[in-house]
Parts: sequence; structure tokens; C-alpha cells
Amino acid sequence: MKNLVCLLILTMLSVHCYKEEITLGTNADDTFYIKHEDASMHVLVRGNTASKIFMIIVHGGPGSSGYVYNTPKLKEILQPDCAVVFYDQRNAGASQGNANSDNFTLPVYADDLKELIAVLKYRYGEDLSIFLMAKSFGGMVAAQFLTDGNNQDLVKGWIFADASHNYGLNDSLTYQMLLDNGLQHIAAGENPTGWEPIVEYCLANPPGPFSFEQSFKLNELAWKAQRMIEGLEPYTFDVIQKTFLSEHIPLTNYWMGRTNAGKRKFNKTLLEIKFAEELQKVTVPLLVCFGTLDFVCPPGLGEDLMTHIGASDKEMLLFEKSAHRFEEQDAFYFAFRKFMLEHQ
Amino acid sequence: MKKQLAFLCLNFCFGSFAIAQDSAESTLSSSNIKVAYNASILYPGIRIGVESPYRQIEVTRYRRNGSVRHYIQKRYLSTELGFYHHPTFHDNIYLLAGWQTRRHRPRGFFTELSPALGYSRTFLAGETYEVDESGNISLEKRSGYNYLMVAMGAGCGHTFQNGRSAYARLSILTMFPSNNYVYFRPSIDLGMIWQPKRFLRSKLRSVSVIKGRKL
Repeated sequence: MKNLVCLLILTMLSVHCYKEEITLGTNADDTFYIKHEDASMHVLVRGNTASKIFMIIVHGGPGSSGYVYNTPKLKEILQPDCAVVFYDQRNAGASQGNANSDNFTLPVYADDLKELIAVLKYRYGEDLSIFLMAKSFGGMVAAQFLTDGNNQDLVKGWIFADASHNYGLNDSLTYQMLLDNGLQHIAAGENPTGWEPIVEYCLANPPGPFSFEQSFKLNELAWKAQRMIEGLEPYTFDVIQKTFLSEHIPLTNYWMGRTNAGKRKFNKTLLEIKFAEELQKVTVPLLVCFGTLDFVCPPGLGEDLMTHIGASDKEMLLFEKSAHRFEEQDAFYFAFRKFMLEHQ
Repeated sequence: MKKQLAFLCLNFCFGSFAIAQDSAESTLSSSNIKVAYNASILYPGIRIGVESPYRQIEVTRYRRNGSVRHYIQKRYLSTELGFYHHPTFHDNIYLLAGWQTRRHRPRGFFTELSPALGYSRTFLAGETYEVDESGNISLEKRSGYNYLMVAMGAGCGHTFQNGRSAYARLSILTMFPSNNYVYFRPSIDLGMIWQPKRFLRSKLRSVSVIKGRKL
């Protein structure tokens, strides 16, 4: 029995020494982790690493995953010409760690991103052209990263897509969009039973500095509004459901990352986050992409970023049939590809 | 309904105290060895363990309808070593110490409940890099995390005439603190149990009890 146990342990330990597997090719599929401040962030690099153009997905949440953007369309449009880095932030997706509540701060998230870039350059070459594609909450992480020191020198461009850099402004814009659309739909007799509770909530909670609870509720109503709004490009958000077996998705870890996120003190600290004047020092090329029907991160956030950013090379695109999920996949991804190829 | 509830309450309050202990004896009993294939969806693993019986209660229960039911309740202290492999996520080795209760029916069928507490060590399934303050990058060997593990299992099985048993068990492995919170993982064990003649013998106290009243 003792021999059996020893043999089992030795066998198990022997399989845990991973050799570096770095793919420089047109169809890379590399998984690795970045360990920093009590967390190990899961990184999946897919696509054309030989192109040396890398797009890092700085996902939303907090608590979502970079992998949820791994749609067939993204693969078809982006991966032939560049490598896509599906990066899971700390305590999200397939990332792992122990107790690390002290490191739930935006600067630590930004440092994680800096280390990821360092490791990408270490693995795939110093001559990489790295682009940040910040989505939703990822906009705050990217803004924190780019406004810190000389970090912007590490990237060639910033894609700000359905993202936020100002929590208070985000809430105000969501509030106004919900109220305007709600009143409009009720007046037109379009789904009044669905819109009435939204309008009632807005009227009962007039604008001002919204509390965390109000902000949370506005976010919930924004998602509800997006489920009711007409004119969206049909799109089913089912990446996880379709691929969780073939891609070895740790479902419960993903789920805990999402459900836990709202309860963390960290979310409350985000209420104060507002990037404005400090964005003047960001001079890297910027592409802003927003769905016109995005209630969660309304397009007004993109307009505010365009006003405050120091970059002269900047462009904003609106996608009329999209909300908060890149519903017009082709249009979004072709825009990302064009931007990266032009600024590599 | 009220009458039934009152009867249940009375039965619980007095019936359980009315258990008659007919006999009690202690013997030395060999421990069981168990080996199981352990899987979470597609991810394979193995669990091996030892369970030492410390108490055996032979129960005769007289029912209100006049029928008599016999079963044996066995209690064990168990130790299990487990491992699973989840590609691109982690591999996990864990050691659990637990308590186990198993109810054996006369025809060989049994059900069990097995809470356990232990230690888990994961190994990340990929190269793990660390960047120091000077920007130097190093590859960490056997990177992973230590967790406190709580496992809860419930299952059923059958004991064959040769004394060996086959069982299936649904377990929930819970690890703390994971991502500053908790990680849980449902898994299914399919395994065998056998009792060598002389293996880690422990003192087994056997008692017989009668529940209910003979009509």
C-alpha cells in the first residue's frame, strides 16, 4: 500500500513540470499563467503569432473572462492576421489564487496587465505590436494602465469598445437612456408592461450621485432594456455553452468569478473611478467603438473619452444594430483588424 | 395530518429513547481498501482510501404495520488520497480525513454518507511566469495553490457474496479560499471496496438495537 501511494505521488509530481511551449506560427494555441500579487492569471494566445500583432482582450465584469469573446467570427476575422490574447483578470475566468482581497484595486489590475505584456514580449519577441481591446469594466483597467508612468509606450494602440472609464458618468448616461427609451416606448404603446417598471424606477430615483445599490440596479435594468429593445442584430451569446467541453472550461470557477464579483468591496471602490484630465497624457492611437443601443455602457462614454484623450490619432465608430455584446460581430472585428493593421 | 405529525414527534421523542440495546461486544476488524475512478464531467481522476470501521449497529425495526426491517449501520473513519486532471486549468492532489456512515440492507445493497475535511494542492496546467520588480521574468516550477478542502459525498453500492463491494458516489469538493472566495467541484466516484483479512485492524464495537415495538 505504501509503495502504491509513493508511486502515485511521484507520478503526479512528475507530470507537473511544464516545459515552455511557445508557438510562433499562423495557428498558435498556447496556454500559460502570470503569477502576480497572490493570483495566477490564465492566458490563452490564439491565432497568428508570427504576425507579431497581438490584441489583448481586457475584459469586463469585474469577474467575466477574456475567453467569452472567442466566437467563430472573431477567429475568422482576426486570427488570420493577428494573435488574440484571451486574458482572464485576477479572480475571474480560469484564473486562480488564494485569499487576496488586499489586491483588489485598479492599480493592481493595471500592474497585472503590465506583467502580461512583459511576458508576451519575453515569449514572442520584443518587437511585438500590442493593442489593448478594452471592453466594459476593462476600459477602467486600460485607462489606469495607460495613464500610469510610461506604460503607454508598451502598446501601439487602444481599442475602447463598449467600455467605461468614468463610473458616475456611466450611471448618468445609463439612467438617461433608460428613461428616454422607456417613455418613448410607453408613448408608442410598445411593450409598456416591460418598460413601465424601468421608468418607474428612474422617476423614483432621480439623478445625482447614485449609490452603489442604485448603480447596481441601473445595470440590471440596462440589461433588461437590451433584451426588450428592437433593431439589434440577432446574436446569441453562447460561447461557453458551446465550447465548455472541448475547451476544458472550468465552469464553476467561471461562475464563482461572476457571482462573487458583485459582492466584493472592490466594486464599491469603482464608484469613485473617473478618468478625465489625466487622459490628456495618453497619446497612443485610439479607436472607440460603441453599439448605439448599448444601455450598459452608453455611447456617451466614448464621446467623453474622445474629448479628454491626448491622442491626435483617434476615431469613433457607432454600430447601430448593436448593444453591449458586439452584436454586429463582422463590423466590430473588421474595424479592430483595420485599426491594428494600420497602426502596427 | 396533525395526528401523523404528532405521532412522528412522539415517535422521535420517545421511540428513539426506547431503543433497546440487546448486546454489545468488541472485536478487532480489518480496515477496508477502496479505489475509485473519479470524474468531473470529462476530467479523470482517482481516489484511493482506507476506511476503518469503529462501530457496527445491527438494527431491528418493528413497524406499525407489523413488518420487521433489519439493517446494519456501519461507521468508519476514513482517509482518502485523490487526484484529478483538468487540462489547461489545474491538476489537484488532495488528502481527506473523514467520517463515514453506511447502511447495509440484507440483500447487499447499501447507502452511504461521507463528509470529510482535508488539504488540497493544485498545480496550474501551464507554464507560470513571475516578473520581479526589476522586470526579470522567471518560470515557476510546480506552481499552484494550497487549499483547505471540505468534501461531502453521498452514494450507494452493493456488497457481493465474496465480500467485495462496488459503489457510486456523488461528491462535492469545496476548496477555500479560492480566488478570495470558494471553488467547488462536483464529481462522481465509481469504485470498489474490499476488506483484506488482516489490514490495519481496529477495534470494532458491535451492538444490536431494536427500534419500535413488537406487535
